[in-house]
Amino acid sequence: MSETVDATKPFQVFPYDDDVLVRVFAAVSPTPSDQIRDKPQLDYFRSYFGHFKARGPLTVVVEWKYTDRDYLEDFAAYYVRCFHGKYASLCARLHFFSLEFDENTLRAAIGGDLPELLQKLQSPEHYCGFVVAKPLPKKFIGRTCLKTYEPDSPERRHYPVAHLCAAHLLGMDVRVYSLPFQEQDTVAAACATSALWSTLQATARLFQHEIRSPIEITRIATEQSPSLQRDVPNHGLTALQMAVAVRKSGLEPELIGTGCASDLQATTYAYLRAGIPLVMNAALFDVSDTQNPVPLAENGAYHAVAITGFSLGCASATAYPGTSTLLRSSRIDELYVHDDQIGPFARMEFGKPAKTVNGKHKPEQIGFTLGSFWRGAQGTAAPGTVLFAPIALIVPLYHKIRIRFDSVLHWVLQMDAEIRSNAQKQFPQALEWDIFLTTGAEVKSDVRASVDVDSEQKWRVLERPLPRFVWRATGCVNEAKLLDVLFDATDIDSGDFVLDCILYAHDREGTARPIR
Amino acid sequence: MAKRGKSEERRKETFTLVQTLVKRSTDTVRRGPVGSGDVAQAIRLLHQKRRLSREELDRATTI
Repeated sequence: MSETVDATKPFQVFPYDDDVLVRVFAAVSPTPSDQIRDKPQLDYFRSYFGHFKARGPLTVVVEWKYTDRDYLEDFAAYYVRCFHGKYASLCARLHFFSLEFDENTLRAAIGGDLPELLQKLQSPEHYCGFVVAKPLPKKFIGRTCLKTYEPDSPERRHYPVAHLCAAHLLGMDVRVYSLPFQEQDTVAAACATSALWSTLQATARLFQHEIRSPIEITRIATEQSPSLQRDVPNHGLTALQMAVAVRKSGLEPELIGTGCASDLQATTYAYLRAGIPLVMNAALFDVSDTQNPVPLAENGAYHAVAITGFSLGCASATAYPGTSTLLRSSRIDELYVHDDQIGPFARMEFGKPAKTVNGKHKPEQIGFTLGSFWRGAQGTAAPGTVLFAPIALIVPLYHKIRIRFDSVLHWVLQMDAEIRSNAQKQFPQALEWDIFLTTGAEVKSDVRASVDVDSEQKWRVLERPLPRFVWRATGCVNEAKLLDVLFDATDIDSGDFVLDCILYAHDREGTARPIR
Repeated sequence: MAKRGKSEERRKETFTLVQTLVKRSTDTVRRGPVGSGDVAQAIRLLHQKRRLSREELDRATTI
């Protein structure tokens, strides 16, 4: 049994075990321990920290009096007016380190007596991130930045939206590669606001817009497009309100339907590679009774998550439906999402079957579904007994990204067909197309570093002005680039948006390089 | 030396061919998905699947 939890202290240090989380949360949130233990997010944390604990010691430092900017906004807007100061304005923050130390050792390191430990504490290698605990009942998980799992192969676990998130603890600067996550509190935020909040954290860094708290997002979403019921406490946003929130943040919302798994894979891959998360709205189906799958919400409500990563776990690419064109994105077997009901970077699997479910009025045919960690039968069934049927994606884009992904995909399908018909001699093997959004600066940097581009082409690309945003379609065979086509993402659809074409030296031995 | 020159020539030929195919693809895409070819069918289907109905959007309240 480790040290007693004492929230009156400025900070405490505990060796990690599952019970420490429950005891600390119970000291902050007016929620019974058994309810804390049963939360799906706690399941997720147990599994997440179990991964790091299996690799070595794990220590938790709890800051008992922490002011969280996002919670403070929510507090000022709502909780402060609850009768008799029922809810506090201060939170606690839990920091996790893959190191072994106690309070005395930590004090010695910070005091300058153990410089090696101090260096390790501040290194992203040993700092696993933090979780803010809010003084609210039941929905207490606030801003959470946790390190992503390390890749176990070059194909799996891509998190292009993760960036360096900084925190300060006892005068130390600690940093972790992550994307902030938080649970909906059902007052300032429902799942839509939480998903938007995470998404806008990433786009604020990319496109330099204001970072808003959950209550501010809910307000901007609803002020111009109010719903019939009250907006705060918030019980959800419509797709239109979510689009308004994106627009009010200074970005343009791109609303895209997800007709089939290939479209979802291709679209998420294309934008995620640019570091842009996508909000996915999905209908949920409880399949805990395999004979009688039913919609989770009878009123047809959807759930929103932020898509934050992908795994290219399939060994080979498959053809885009109705064509022979191979897309690299078809190798995606899992998406990682910030699902406020589960946790950050939670896994969702492709390859789940199509379903016929008993809707309110008639059976509904669901074309494809994704597996999740949700528990069906009102949370009593095993994890994975709720399937997601994606309906729409909302992509928050900088206004100068005007050419839609579909236009580029259309072009690539056409070009691939042309190559098959007219250039079989030059390209005897089918190309696998890697299509994604990038920047002119990244293209130039990549071309400059490439040893497979001849000098003439290299200087042509380096010397020509490129727009800030570029769509890139790379044709590959066996992981080697053969052909690159660059598109002006700032152009208009009816214009000639192809900028340039690069041919790689694929016919020289040993020069073919794998793509990222 | 001669081998290198031949390879260079072949690459230039390929580049010219690719440029032609790029132009042809652009012209075809600009005309929109016409005809009954595989690509045109796939694109028609893509646009159809991507279009969300007003009913679907109205239903899309999140929980």
